[in-house]
Amino acid sequence: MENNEGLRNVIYDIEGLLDGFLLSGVSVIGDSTLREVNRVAVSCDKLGLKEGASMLFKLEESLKRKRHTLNFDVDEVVKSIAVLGSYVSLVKGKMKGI
Amino acid sequence: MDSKDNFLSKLKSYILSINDEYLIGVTNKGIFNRASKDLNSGAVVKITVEEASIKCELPDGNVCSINEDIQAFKCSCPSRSICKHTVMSYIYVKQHMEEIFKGDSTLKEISNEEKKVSQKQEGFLPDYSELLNINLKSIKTALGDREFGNLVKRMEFGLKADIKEGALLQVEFDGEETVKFISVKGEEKKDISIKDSSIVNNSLCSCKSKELCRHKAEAVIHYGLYKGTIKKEEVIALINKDRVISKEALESCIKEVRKTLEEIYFTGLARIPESFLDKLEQVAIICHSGDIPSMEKKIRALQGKLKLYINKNASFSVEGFRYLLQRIYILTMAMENCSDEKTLGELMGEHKSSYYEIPPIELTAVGASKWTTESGYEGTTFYFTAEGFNRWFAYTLSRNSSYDKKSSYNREACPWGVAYDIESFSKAKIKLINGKVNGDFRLSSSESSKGEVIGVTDILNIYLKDKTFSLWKDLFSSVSKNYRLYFNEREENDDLFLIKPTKFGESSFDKIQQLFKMPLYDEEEECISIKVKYSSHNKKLIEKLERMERMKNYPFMFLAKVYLGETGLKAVPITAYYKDGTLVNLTI
Repeated sequence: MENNEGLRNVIYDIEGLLDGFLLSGVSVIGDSTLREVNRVAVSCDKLGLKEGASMLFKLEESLKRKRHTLNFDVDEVVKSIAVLGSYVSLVKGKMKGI
Repeated sequence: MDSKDNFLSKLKSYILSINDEYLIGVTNKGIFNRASKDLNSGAVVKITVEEASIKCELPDGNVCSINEDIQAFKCSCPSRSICKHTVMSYIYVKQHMEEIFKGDSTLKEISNEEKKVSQKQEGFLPDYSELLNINLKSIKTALGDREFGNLVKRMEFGLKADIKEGALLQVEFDGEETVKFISVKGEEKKDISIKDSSIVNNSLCSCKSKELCRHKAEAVIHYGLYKGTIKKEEVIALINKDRVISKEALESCIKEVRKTLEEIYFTGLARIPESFLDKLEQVAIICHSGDIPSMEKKIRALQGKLKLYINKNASFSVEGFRYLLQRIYILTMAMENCSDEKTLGELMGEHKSSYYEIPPIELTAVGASKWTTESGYEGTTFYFTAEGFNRWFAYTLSRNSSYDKKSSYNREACPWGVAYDIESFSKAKIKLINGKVNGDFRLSSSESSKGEVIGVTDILNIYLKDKTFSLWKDLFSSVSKNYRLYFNEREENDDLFLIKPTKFGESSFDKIQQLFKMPLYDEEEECISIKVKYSSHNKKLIEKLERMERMKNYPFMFLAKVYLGETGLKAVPITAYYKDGTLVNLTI
């Protein structure tokens, strides 16, 4: 039951992150956001959401890379966000018993 | 053999093939009886055999030329259609065959064979096998994509054809047109084009069309289905077969869509300019011209949501917007990686908005709901069931209320010429003639459609298979089945159910969230909740539900929209049904 609560919180956190990216855009990503992505990724990993964790780590990497490149690949980030969002929807569906 | 002999031999086999029933079929009983009577009263017809016709001089002075094609008659009387004189001529020739065809040398040679044929024809054995050899593709080409699409939709809808094979092949579409085929000795090759088919060219349709009309093509297909030479799936498959999916066009559309999504994610919703709405419009048009209706629909939905955000409308949700964005992106990925043409066609979707004519249908109204939209429209949707259909039919009355705040649409006229008010219309049994429906089973208000009230809805017997539930676990599996669909478009009104609660719980009103709640239990004590958020539009609904509880006057069934919420199923009722046979529309 506790695990379920933890899972719910992590899903809530991922959705919060995704909503944040959508609202403020990925052109400006602060340190705190990157730290938050890393924290959620670690939580995911602990809960057994391995796929989610790897996607979040990958997203963190891509966002970090943005700071040191002029040829920022937005498509890669958008793809990660879309796939991660769909993954979250699937997890939520499973939690509802679908 | 010269051309005259040739003509006579053709005419003879034709004359042998026709009988009274046939002549009545190509004209009518009145003309046939008149012609027979005139001929039997001792009239003498003067016959002259010409190169390619037989000239008949009738006692009333009219001259009629006939040949082996009854439609190609020529008569001196002013009638444009087959007249009494033509029928008289054919009957006379049939009665005096021995005299007229005695000089036909070829006939003498094959007299024995002819005799057999003649004997056979006494019992009249018409041959319509040519109709079964018509190439389906030629029907599509002759009718055009749109008309053929309508034909297939009507077939899928369950159009019934009454087929009678006799001297004439009569295909009657229930309450609609009748097509009559005349057995003509035509080509015996396989795979002939509908335009080259002599049977089709000589056929008669009650729509009076002399050319190939939809009814004739429909009759050919239904005859094939009746004989088992065509399968429904073959006809349906023809619709998508010719859809040419251009990889390049698809790729450029996908590229454009992705670029737009990237722009949104790069800039961020908070800083997106209003002009971006135009950009989305452009992308929607690109998808439309690229023939990707599913994507176009989603882009337009995105545009609608963005408009809400820009207008600072409270109903906007970031989550909903994000969910739509990710669905669009995943759809582009799926289309990009799809190698199967059929699946790709399904992913691209189809334009569903076109309405097609349906045969007369009896509709049972089961309720109506009033609604308003953020964009300023208000209206009423009526829901119907029809026997043999496991789906909801819907008709919507809507109007823009932005200019006129004082609503008067309750007094608005009902469709199809039915002189009822909205309340009575929502519980009437209606026979709809010349109705039109679209792919989502939405009924059209077309002026040609006529409705006739044939009774009142029998409340106690309202039922729709797969949509009526008294056990919530079954309802849950049905609702969640719809939620599993990711790419495929969901059916319209797939969230509309008839639910039968056994027990009603105590209602409550959450003052903070402004939410009215009422638990409904099934016989296994499982619970789903009626949840209605308070708004000026929902005020009436909440009041009616509260009164229901106060008076302890609970219905035995609800028509309700059922959703999957965070904590289980939630229902928003539309109509309540009582055991005494009353129906209450809760939102009106």
